[in-house]
This record gives sequence, structure tokens and C-alpha cells, in this order.
Amino acid sequence: MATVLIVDDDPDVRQLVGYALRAAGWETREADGIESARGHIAEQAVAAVVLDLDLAGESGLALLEQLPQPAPFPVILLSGDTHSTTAEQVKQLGATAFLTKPFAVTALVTSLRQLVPGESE
Amino acid sequence: MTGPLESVLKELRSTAGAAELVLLRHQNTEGTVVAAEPSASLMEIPAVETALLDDGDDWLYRTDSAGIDRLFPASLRGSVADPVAAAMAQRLSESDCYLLFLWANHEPSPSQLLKLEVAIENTLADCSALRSALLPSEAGADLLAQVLASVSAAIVITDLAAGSSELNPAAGELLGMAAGTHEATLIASAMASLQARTTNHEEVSERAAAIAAAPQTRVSDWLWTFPDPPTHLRVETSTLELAGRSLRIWVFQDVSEEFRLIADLAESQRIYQLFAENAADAVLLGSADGIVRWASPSISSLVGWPPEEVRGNPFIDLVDPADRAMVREFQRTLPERRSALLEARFLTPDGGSKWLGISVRQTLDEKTGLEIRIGVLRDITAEIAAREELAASERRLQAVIDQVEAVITFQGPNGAPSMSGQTHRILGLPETQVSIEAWRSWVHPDDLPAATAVWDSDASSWELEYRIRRQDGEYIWVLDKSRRVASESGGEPILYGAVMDITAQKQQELRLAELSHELLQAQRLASVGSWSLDLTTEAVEWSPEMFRILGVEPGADLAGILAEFSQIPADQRETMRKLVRRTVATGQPWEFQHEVAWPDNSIHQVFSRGELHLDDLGGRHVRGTSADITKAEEERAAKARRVEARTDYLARVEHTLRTHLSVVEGWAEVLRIDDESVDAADRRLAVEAIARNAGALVAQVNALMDESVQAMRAELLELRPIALAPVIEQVATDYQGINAGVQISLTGERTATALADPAALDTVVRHLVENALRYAHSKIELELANPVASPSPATVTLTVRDDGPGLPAGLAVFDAFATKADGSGHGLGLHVVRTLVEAMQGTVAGGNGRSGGAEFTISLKAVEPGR
Repeated sequence: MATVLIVDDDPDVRQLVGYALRAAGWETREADGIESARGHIAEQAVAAVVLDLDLAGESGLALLEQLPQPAPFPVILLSGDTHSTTAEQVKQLGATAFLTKPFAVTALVTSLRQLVPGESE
Repeated sequence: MTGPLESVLKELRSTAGAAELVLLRHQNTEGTVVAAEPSASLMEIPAVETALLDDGDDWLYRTDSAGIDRLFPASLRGSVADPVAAAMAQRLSESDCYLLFLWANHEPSPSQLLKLEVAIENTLADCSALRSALLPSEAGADLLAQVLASVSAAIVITDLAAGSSELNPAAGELLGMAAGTHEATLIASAMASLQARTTNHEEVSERAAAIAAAPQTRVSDWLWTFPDPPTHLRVETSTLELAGRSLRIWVFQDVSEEFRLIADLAESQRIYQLFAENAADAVLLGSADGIVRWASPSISSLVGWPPEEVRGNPFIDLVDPADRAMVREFQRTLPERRSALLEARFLTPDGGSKWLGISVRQTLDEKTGLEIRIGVLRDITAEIAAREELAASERRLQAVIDQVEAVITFQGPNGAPSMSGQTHRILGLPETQVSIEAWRSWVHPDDLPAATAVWDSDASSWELEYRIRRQDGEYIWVLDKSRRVASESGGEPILYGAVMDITAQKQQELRLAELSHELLQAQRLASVGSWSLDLTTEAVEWSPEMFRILGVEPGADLAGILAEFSQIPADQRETMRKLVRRTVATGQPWEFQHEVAWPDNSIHQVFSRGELHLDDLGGRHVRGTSADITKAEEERAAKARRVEARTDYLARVEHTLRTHLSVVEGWAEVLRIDDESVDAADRRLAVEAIARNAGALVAQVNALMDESVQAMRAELLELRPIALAPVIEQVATDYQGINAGVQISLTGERTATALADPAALDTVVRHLVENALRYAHSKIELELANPVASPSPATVTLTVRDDGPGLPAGLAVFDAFATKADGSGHGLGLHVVRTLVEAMQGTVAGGNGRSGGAEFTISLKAVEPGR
């Protein structure tokens, strides 16, 4: 079963997304910041990453920049900033998909299923 | 044995100081007895001198008995030593002539002595009776020798029978031989040699031959002339039978000086004649009855009448009838005045007239004892014409003066000015004269001191502007251009003044000055300076604001700085030059934002604009303005930072709100779609998450609304000096006791005053106190600090410190919704604090104090209390 890493500084968001993805059949790991996320990626292969753009005191883009290009797994970027960040911009930075908060849980699950075929079903 | 001549000579020569010898010879046909008086007073008798001079010799006086009587009045006779008079009387009674020698009070010249000797010789030759009386004796020979030795003339006496010649010292010197007796042939040879050296040798030789052929010939006008130095000898020779001897007497007299005088006189006469014949002025000599007795030749060229037609005619007949009455009056009063100038028209032969100026002097002719009039005539036609032209010019000037908007005053010696009609019209005066005092009383009191200082000074000319009151009470501005000129009569100086009404011009000037002042004020307010570069003269002008823009002391010479752009950085300077060159070449204006380095090395932003300007006189200028936009640039940059911060803030707010919404909506979606599959524990988690995030949403929306209000207030703050202590004391009072365990205290300087908005300051302090209350264990301290002079400007500080756990490391506490890694964090309170403090031109800083609690310090611009 594929593992999806959820990176968000808000524990309620991690809890929600983790519940939804586990309900959809994925295993999940959670990280509240980049440092923690890098640790999970290093110790276990992940099938995809759901990454919050605005982490506490840092930007989720920093994690993207640290990944090989193209990234070895899909990255779905979540952002609550609809003005300064566009889907086109984040894709250029290496993200695979971009969802703005508040997002539909079903949309997230659908996107992951498209990006990680054969998994979670 | 002594004769009368000897006695006279001896007597006269013994007179101490006596010098000039005067010889009188009188044909004593009447046996008159006269006496000699060696007194200078005799020589001072003019009539005698005149009479004697008329006799043709200025020292050898020959006269008749009447002349003797004039020379020696009866009162003088007999006053000389009786022996002399007696001897003279004796000898004269026996002869037909006598000699009288008079000594005057000055030394005789050599030529005079020579003439005396010649006279003696002549006398001796002429007066045979006296001669026989004088020379038959040894004494006579001695006398002759004595005379010969004393005279300056060279005398050679040759005894024809004895074949010997006697030379006196002068003759010895002339012939190059010793004085005394020589062989006659030797002397003849020497004289022949002398003749050979003459320049008129032929004439001399011819005459010498004639004398040799006729020994009795007497020669007295024979001239021997020698060159180098030019010398003239007058030679006289005659034979004399004396004491049985046949003598030839040669007298050589050096008349070179006489010849030189004669030559000089001839030259003087020639020059005088030349002057008289060529002088433009003419001379008339007339008698007191007005008849012209003599006229110089130039009268012909002056008025056209030949001198001979003028002589003998009444002077008045020469005068134009129109001027005769005036000339008659002139003639009538002339004896009283003795000399005067006359200007009148004189008739000319062609029927016209001519202006002549005559300087007339009436004097006494001493010779005739009659009053005569001497007039020097001069053509003054041109002068009269010039005067008439001057008078016409003055009339034209007066006409112009009467037409122009000017006032002319003439301050005459009597102190009363005369004014043109314009004066009266402009000043609204009646056509009467006014006094200087009245004029001064009309001058505006504010202008009078300066004007009086000039008028009462020694200035010879001035230009003054002052206000003067018209007769109707209205003041007008006038320009007073005056000159003080010395009076020709030597009296008080005359003042010539031109006073022009310049009220309209002055009003324009005042308006221009006001506009200039307003422009300068506007430039100062806008930090805009103006400058001008004359492309022809390279002269540079600038407005005062340029001193501040360039950061130099007021009054400094900016010409070099402005012309060379020397305060602009090198790279921008070249750009500036290119822009100016392009403007000069094309006329297109330029604009350029550049930096200016002040002398203190600070860099300032300046926006300059320039354009080409052509003046009315063809001059070309580059004129421009420069504005110090440093502050505006700083404000623009600050605004950009604020916009950036605001954008960042909104993004943060948006993210936070959307995150909470995501949780709420996400769980709601889960529960709605798959409610049955959600177990009870997850359902509880979901509901709690929804409730927590919904509450957070409400709190954050409220905070957001509050922040928005404060942000809007920050834009509308009214800064003014605020005493901080009362505001802080009120906040401390309000929050005292809310947390029972926490004590709020106020310390420090209670009189600190800062630039602030009262409401904003209240909000700031309340946010800080509320924040401290959340974390403080037991106390909150509010400390006010005195103004701090450094860093400039002086500031007042308020520090709010608590004894709580302090601020977490790395947390940007003033950012909106700053949160710690664990999700805890701050809302918008401190963000609002920073927004309002910065809006009050202050700063805020946060950190931990020595005790470990949080410590926030705000700094505001200090203001002196009471301002």
C-alpha cells in the first residue's frame, strides 16, 4: 500500500487529510515542517506528498527546491494564498498539482488517484 | 698842472660806488656855468632821459642849454664841490665846449667805457680850445695814457713822423703783441695780417688802400668781420695833429654784442610784423572823442575795410545802426570803467554786418598826455551762432520737458526751484513756485530720512526713489535724478533735478517683488530651486532654495557647482551633460532624476528639469528647476514597504482563514458524504475540529476587523505633542486588578512629551498591556524614559515588561497571526501595535528582559514640553 506524506503545520489539517487519505486506501505519514518531512522521505519511500505552501516560519517551496527535479513522486501543493501564488508558478517550481484552501477532500483524493494510478483502490 | 677834465674825472672817480659815467658836451656859446652832481636822482628825471634818448645815444648825452637846464635845475647848481665848479667855470669860459661827467650808481659796461673814450677822443678832436688846454703838457700825455689804458677798445696811435706806434693793452691783445711802443712797420704788418683774417677781406683791403692813398681820410663806420666765433669790430681811424706831432689813431671797438642785439631786434621786429599782418584780431587806436586814429592792417581781413578808410573816422560810423545806441552808451561809460568788453555788429563794405567782440581799454598816453582808447577786435560770429543754437536747444529741451511725463526742477542760487508745467500737473500744484522745505515736507515720512541723508551730503549727483504727497493727499512714487553743479559766479551750487512719476513702475516692481517672494516661499515649501545658465556669458544664477538642495551654506557661490554639475556622481554627471547639450542643440526640454552628494557625503535624490529659453535680446539660457525628492522617495519607498507588508499580511490572513475553513469544510464534507462509515471516535474528532476552527475563524475575523480599523486609523492620525504619562496612567488604571495576581506599575519620567496621536497611543499601550497580562506572573512595569538625544532625533521611550516566560525564539511577533511551530501564536495585537507606532513616525522592538520576561519598547519623537 502506497504511503502519502502530509506536510502541514496545522494539526487539524493533517488530521483531516490523513483521515481522508487513509479512508481512500493510502497509508499516511505526517510532518509539521520541512525538517520533519525530509526525515520521513529519507527513511521511507513515499508515493506522493501533500504539501502546505505556508508552513510556520517557512515556505513549503523550500522542500520542493530540495527535491531532485523532476521530483521522484507527485507533489500536491495546498495553499491558502490565492493572490500571490498561481498554479502555473508552483508547477514550474516542481509541484504536480495545486489546490487552494479550502479544498474539497474528494478533489484531493481524486487528484492523488490520478497521480498515483493503481494505488489506494 | 691839471685841467678841468682831469679835475672832473678825478673828482668823480673818487666817489665811492660810483660807476656809470655820463658825458655831456655843450657848445658853450653862451658861457653857461653848470655844475655836476654825481647823483642817481639826476638819471631818474624822465623828461631828461627822453630828451637825451632822442639825441640818439643812450649814454652819450648831447643837449643844448635848455637840456642842460632840464638836466641840472638851478637848485642843483653849485651843490657840488666848489673847486670842481670853479675849475669848470674857468675852463669853460675859455672854450667853446665843455665836458661834464656824471657818475651814476652802477658799474659801467666795457662798451660804455669804450664809448666814453671815443667821446673823449671826439671831444678832443672837436674842441680845439679845450684840447690845447689839456694836452700841451706832460700831464695831458699822462692823462691820455691813463685813458688809453683804462678803455676796453683797442687803440693804436702811430706817430707818422717818428715811425713808432703805441698800443694800449686791448690793442696788444688784438694784434698778438705786447702793449707799449713798437716799430710802426711792425704794427702795420700785424694790422695787415688782421685784415687778412676778416670775412669781408675784399672790402677791408679796398678801404685800407683808399686810406693809404688819402692819409687825411677819417673813417668811422668801418666794419671788420671775423668768423668763429663771429666777431664784429668797428674800426675808426683819423689823423690828428697834436703837440706838433702828426698822429694816426686807430680805434678797434668790439661791437659783436651790439650786432647780436641788432640781429635779435630785427628778428623780433620780423616776428612782430608777421604777427601783426597775420593775426585774426585787429587793433584800433582811438582818441577819447571816439575818432579812430590808427588801425592795424588786419582790420581789412576782419571787416573788409582798408585801414586807411577807417582812420580819422568816428568809431560809431563802423557800427551797425541797430547797435549804435548800445555802443554810444558803452562809450559814454568807458572812462569810468577804463576797460570793458563790447559785442556789436559792424558794417561791412558789402552792406552787411558782422559780429565783433572788442576788448577796449582807455589809458593815458604819457607822451602826449592825452587819453587814448585801444581796442582789440575779434570775430565772434561763430560764437554768437553757437549761443543762438544753444538758446534754440534749450527752447527745444523745454518743449520736450513740457511734453514728457517728467518733472524738472532747477534749484537756483536763491534757493527757489523753478519747475516745469509737468511738475505742477503731476503733483497737483498751482502754478506757483515752492521751496525746498515744502518739497521735503511732502516726502513720505518713511522715505524722508534716507532722502535727506543724500540731499544733505556732499554728493554731486544721485538717483533716489521716494514717495511724495500730491496736493490731493495721495502719495505717488517718484524717481529723483539730480546733479549739483558749481555756480559759474562762485555762489551756491545749482541743483538740476529731473523727477519722474514712477508710481506705475513701482507698483509693478512691488507686485513683482511680492510674486518673487511668493515664488521663493513656494520653492521653499516644495523644496524646489531654480537656476539659469547664460550660454553666451556663462553666467549662472540660482534661487536661494538651491543652497538647501545642494547642502551648502546660504550665500555660497554655486556658479561652479551648477555649471560643472560637480555634486552629481560621475556617471550621472555625464548623462546630465548629454541632456543639456541635446537641449541646447534641439531645444527639447529634459528631465532627469539624479543623486546629489552633499559636502557631508550624504546622498540626496534630486529631480531636475531644464529647457532652452530665448530672451528678448537674443540671449540664450538654459533654465531649469531642481527638486529635492529625497523625502518623497523615502516616503515612496516606505509606502512600497507598507504595501508589501500589507500584501504579506493579507496573504497570511488569507492562508490562516482558508486553513481553518479547509478543516471545517473538509470534515463537513467527510461527514456529509460518508457519514455512516465514520466511526464515533473520528466523528468526535471531526466535530471538535470543526468547532475549534470555526471558533478560530470567528476570533480571527474579529481581530481582522479590529486590525482593519486600526490600519485605517493609522492613515488618519493627527500627530501632536502629547504628554505620555497621563495616557499611560489611565491605561494602567483601567487594567489594574483585571488579573488579581498581577500588579501594574508606572515608573520613570512623568513629563516626557512626544509627537503622537492620543487615540492611537492609547490603543498601542492597551495592546501591550493586554499582551503582558496574558503572560505575566505577578507584575507588569511601564517605564517612561527621558528624551534621548542620540540617535537623532531625540526620542521618548515607553517600555512594557512583564515577568512571564518571555518571547519564543525566532518568532516574528509583530507579524499578523504569527504562530509557533506547535500552532500556538499571536493574533493581530502586536501587529496593530507596530502599524500604529510606525504611523506615529516611531519604532517598536520586542525581546526578553534580564529577568526573562517579555519586554516591548516603543520610541516616539520627543517634543519639548509646552510646544
